[in-house]
Amino acid sequence: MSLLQLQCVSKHFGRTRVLEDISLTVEAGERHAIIGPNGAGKSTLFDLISGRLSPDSGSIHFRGQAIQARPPHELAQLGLARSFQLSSLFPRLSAFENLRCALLRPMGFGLSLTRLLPRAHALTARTEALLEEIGLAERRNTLAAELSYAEQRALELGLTLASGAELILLDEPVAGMSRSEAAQAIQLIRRVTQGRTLLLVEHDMGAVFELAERISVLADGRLIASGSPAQIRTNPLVQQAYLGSAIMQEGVDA
Amino acid sequence: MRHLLPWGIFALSLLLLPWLFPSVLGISILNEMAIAIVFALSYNMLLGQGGMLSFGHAVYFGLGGFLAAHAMLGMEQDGPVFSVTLIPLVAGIGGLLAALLIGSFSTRRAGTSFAMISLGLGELLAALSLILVGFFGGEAGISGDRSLGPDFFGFDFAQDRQVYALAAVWTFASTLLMYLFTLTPAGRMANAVRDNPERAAFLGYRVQRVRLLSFVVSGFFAGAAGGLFALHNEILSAQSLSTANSGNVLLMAYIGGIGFFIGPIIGAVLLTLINSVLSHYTDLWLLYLGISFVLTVMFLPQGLTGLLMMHVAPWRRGLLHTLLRPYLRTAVPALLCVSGLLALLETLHHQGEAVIFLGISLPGGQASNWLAIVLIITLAALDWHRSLPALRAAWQRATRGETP
Ligand SMILES: Nc1ncnc2c1ncn2[C@@H]1O[C@H](COP(=O)(O)OP(=O)(O)O)[C@@H](O)[C@H]1O
Ligand SMILES: [Mg+2]
Repeated sequence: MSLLQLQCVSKHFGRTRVLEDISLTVEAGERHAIIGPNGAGKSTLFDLISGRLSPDSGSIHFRGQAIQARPPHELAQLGLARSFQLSSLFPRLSAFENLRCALLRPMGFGLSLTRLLPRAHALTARTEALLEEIGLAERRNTLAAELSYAEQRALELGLTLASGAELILLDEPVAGMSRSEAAQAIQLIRRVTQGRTLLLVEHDMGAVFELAERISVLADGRLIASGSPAQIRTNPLVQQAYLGSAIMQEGVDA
Repeated sequence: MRHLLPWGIFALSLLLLPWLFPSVLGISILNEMAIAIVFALSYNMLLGQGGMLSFGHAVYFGLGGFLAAHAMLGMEQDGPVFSVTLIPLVAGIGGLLAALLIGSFSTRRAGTSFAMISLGLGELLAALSLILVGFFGGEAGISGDRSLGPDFFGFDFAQDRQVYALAAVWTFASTLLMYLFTLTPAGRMANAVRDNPERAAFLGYRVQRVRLLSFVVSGFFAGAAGGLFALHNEILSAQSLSTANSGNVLLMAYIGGIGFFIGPIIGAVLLTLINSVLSHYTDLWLLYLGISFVLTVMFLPQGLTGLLMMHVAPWRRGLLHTLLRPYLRTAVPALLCVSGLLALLETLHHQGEAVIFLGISLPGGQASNWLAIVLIITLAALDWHRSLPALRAAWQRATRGETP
């Protein structure tokens, strides 16, 4: 059984059909990228999978359970974590506190009223380690609102990876990062998603070809192709969808 | 060890102040301060820490208080049942249950709908208190005798001093517990939900449950504060759960500074003093309180604690003293200007009568008097304005660490 299975999923906002009849399966352990031009509906697809929106029709199964009507916190508890294209942080908490909040549930602290955070040494150590991994150790006590754009992207990634979830959805994780920051983030994503399942939306084709074993292409709300990176590169439909865009070319060079 | 110092100072203040102000009025004001501290801290658990703006926090204070009054009344009729020292606990549990009931629907959303529900319920309860005469005692309220419980190590709580001792112990314990709450996962997630409820949900938290937990804990301490209030006054009227009382606790937390744990404590102490001292000297004190609130919102969104904290950076750099002269330079015309404004307001208020202002008798109703005051205000304001660039420059030097 596939870890994630979408069947004939459609979504429209008012009159505009944003996603049309999407069927997609993601196997456990797979690293799967979704690419497509701006406005193709990639983020909307993530919203549907992660429970932020519910589909107008079709079904979504995660671990064999129908999840299309379940709220985000239940999906997170089921083992699904996502990042946001526009960083969604806790602005008045420090970088450290942001990550600690993300680690509370996976480390079994939940909403405890009897445990004191300063005494939770394992939690602190894990938070510091993650802070180091995303390259924000020096910005430990800076409020999330005061971090630079690239640092906020790194923290966004950290909040998502902290969950230790079975299925990780990343929406343009390296957009806005410098080359070296992006390379570091890709290494981190690769390491943390080892043995897990990754669904990735990314415009940086270097990152896509480095991380993904399978690629699906979304254009105008329809899934037009799905296959290995080599198959996608040579697919005439994909080349047509990207006509006039240099993205695929860049990918071929990479 | 260093983080124990503030607690030592707090305990010592609670212990020593009644010796410094042993008069009946002194003890009474100290009692009110202690109660206000617990109430304001419980309020800030919602506003500052949880991002829930409540206009009806007095509901939990008042319900706790009425429960306490009924407990005292019960002992008057049925004899001593349990120690009076436990009455705040009973009141706290009452506040907690009320918060659980109301919070189960009001915490679904923060923001405007939470604020509106709190306001509506506050008004509802104020109206109910006049209808349900059995529980709320109508216009007269409910009075009880606090000295009828069983003796507690020789304390019968007939005297104000003994009640103060009880309030001080409860206040210290409540403050400590509310501080510890900020260090728990529940307290931290309350901050997270305040900042970004959607992200908290995607981390696997049911945001309503996070809010409800804070709300219920806050309801407990508000109720306990109401219980202490009932013990202190031995009478409780609908006033205690009125929207005015809810507004008062909002002022305390805000003027003190909702972004700091200690903020509401400072606000509670200050506003209790203002309420009880200033009201002796002028009928206009509510106006002054309102103006202070507006000025705080406009110029000190971090409250008085924020103002104090701004000085930590220059102090660390050893440059605090460089601010003294520019502060004095600004303070003199500023005080003159404010005094002038106060004199103007007071003479306008007491039209035709003489007003004693700062020991000076101002005969009322004379145009020459008003003209002189307006002149003083204008000149002082101009000079105040002129002093500001120097202050600003000194401030920048002190915070950026450049010695002049
Ligand atoms: N909440 C919304 N209301 C109306 N239209 C929306 C909404 N969200 C997205 N859209 C539209 O849906 C389309 C797909 O958006 P999105 O999923 O963000 O695309 P992508 O992530 O692939 O760039 C776009 O045309 C966008 O304008
Ligand atoms: Mg997008």
